[in-house]
Amino acid sequence: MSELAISIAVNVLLGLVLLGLLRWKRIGDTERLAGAAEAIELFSRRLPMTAGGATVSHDGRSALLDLGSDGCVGLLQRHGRRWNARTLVPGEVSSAELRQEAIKLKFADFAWPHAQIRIDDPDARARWLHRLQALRSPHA
Amino acid sequence: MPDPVYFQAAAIAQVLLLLLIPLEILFASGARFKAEYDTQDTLANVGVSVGSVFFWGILSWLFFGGVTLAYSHRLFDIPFTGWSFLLVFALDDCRYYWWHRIGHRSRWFWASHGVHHSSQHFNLSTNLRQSWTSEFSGLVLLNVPLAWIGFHPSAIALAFSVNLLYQFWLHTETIDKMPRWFEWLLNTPSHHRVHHGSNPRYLDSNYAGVFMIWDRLFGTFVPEQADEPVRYGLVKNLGTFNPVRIALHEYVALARDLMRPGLTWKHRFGYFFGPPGWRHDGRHATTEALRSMRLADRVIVRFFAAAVLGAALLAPPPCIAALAPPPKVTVPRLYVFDCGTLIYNKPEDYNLTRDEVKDTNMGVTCYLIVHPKGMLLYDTGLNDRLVGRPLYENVLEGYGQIKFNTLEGQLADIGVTPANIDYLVLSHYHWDHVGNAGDFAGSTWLVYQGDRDQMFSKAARAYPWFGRYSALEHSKTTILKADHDVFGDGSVVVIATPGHTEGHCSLMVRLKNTGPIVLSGDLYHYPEERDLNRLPDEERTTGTIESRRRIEEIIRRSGAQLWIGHSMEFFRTVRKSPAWYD
Repeated sequence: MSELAISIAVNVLLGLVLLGLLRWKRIGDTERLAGAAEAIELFSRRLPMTAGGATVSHDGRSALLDLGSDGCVGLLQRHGRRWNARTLVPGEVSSAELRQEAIKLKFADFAWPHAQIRIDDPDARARWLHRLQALRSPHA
Repeated sequence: MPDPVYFQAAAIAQVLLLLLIPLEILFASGARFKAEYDTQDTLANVGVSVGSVFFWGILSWLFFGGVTLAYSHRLFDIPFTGWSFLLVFALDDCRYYWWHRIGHRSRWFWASHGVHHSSQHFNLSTNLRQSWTSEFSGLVLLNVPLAWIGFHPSAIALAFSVNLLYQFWLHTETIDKMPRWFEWLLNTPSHHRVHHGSNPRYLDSNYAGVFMIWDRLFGTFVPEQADEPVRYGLVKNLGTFNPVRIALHEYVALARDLMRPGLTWKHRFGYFFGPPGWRHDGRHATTEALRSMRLADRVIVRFFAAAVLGAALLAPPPCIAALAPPPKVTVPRLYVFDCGTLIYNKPEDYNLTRDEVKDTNMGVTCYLIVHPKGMLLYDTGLNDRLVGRPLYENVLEGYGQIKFNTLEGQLADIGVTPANIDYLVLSHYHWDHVGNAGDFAGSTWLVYQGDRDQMFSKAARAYPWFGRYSALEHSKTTILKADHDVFGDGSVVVIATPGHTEGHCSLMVRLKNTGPIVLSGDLYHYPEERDLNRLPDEERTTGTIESRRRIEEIIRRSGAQLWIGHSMEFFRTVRKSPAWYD
């Protein structure tokens, strides 16, 4: 058991060293979306779908995309130093709520459980909230 | 039994290797090497590592219990010596290959191993992101045979430890390529980057631990392609850095699949042991299915979004595109692909005048033969990346290249991916025939020595199009010395027709309804060369005359049709895929 404790301690120590080093070296992510066009381009590179429009979040780290008349919504979100993309089809959203100026989403997905998108424009925010609430699963 | 000092040395080596992570961060931040770190991702790796160490600590008895029990019924007593350690190391490496391959190809085992692939970054800290359930999954049973043969459990454990220590340096982008002999024999960062790729081309390849020969031997080797950067991570990437979710996400997804309403036990078996992405309704998102999708054509395939992104649990989304299964045949079938057109107006190069040639342009054709025993691709045409580019960008050696359809897309239309192609034959190595050859490096390449030597000569390495076929250098290759009956029944025969190049070859295909056909490569370019008995001056002494004479004799005796791939008339009228000849 002492070997197990030592192994875990080494890992924890390593984590602290790496955290200190990454902070010291200021290794972080500064990439932000420049606008809707970039969001559409990045999304289409990850999923073979063409978005008709997009709204970029206040912090430029996520965007909601209009995927067409069938109600599907695209989500582009910064994850580490990569962009993740997913579609939200009817039933996939567990809850969509407004918290101050942000839409807080919960997904029926253990591996990508939630997202938060702050949208400055109140009209756009209300429109997206309405669309996302329409995608909620029946049991949510 | 190995001296405990070996294990102490391995433990010290492990700690020293861990120190390489901060060193890589230091160098990466100085931009001296290519290495990309993200704070959250790195800390998630450490978090997963803590869990992995913990569960190894409490479950390792499953490993030691299994091998110790087997060792108590051993067939031989194998002493621990330098030679016996080398032997157990090599055998354990083979065991590792199969452990790893099963870990990727069966969902239950992937639920455990997929954790290691879940980071979208690739650096030395990726080593830390290890499964919590390796011992629990059942694959530890693969260690049992070595103990049963008579290798001491400690020797097996030491071999495995050394194997894992070797793999530490593989997780980096700071090292590009090792010397060629090294790349051939051993696992390297380049090979392992491919293994961590989620690009359809790279999925499920390069399973080796130390010796790359296992992948070469068992057909899973895929080289890193300069023109396709590796996208690290999973097909469906995670949206969390929570170590618990990272470690267990696939188990949760598997459980949800197993609990779908209306499944039979056969379906549940498929979800449990089938490849990741298997679906009971046939809308698979497996590696093979993903390779079949025409992503390059930007077709909206909602199936991808739904099945791959997990929404398939719910009602089928509206825009689902069905995937064609690869053709299965009882008699050989020949598909012809439009692999481009060459705009050219200088028939004098072929000793013909413009008045003598009906159409001076040239079609470019590729052919797929689907045989009950396998598939063979003859030529790969113009490069797929020419599609959509203006003509003025695509002029090469006086030939304007036009291409509207990718070969990859045309193959996908009939449910075929490069992974389905068993054999690749290139009529010769000129750029209009090898434009996509690198995509088929996983096939067995049938080639004559003269052409292969020329393709990898020093001069050829400077060709602008060298990269389009360079991956073939490490593919499984059969050097042909004479005509070659590919499937052993005379239906597909490679015929040596040197002259245009030293290793130029034609292909005789015997079809049940259409009859015999000779695909002549560049033995003739224009049909008028045949009618008027002309040929380029430089080919008068290289063997073309003799090869033409031989082919004409074969045609006379067999009654075969001669298909001249560059003939525009042939190109316009031939029945193209997805139709076929049989």
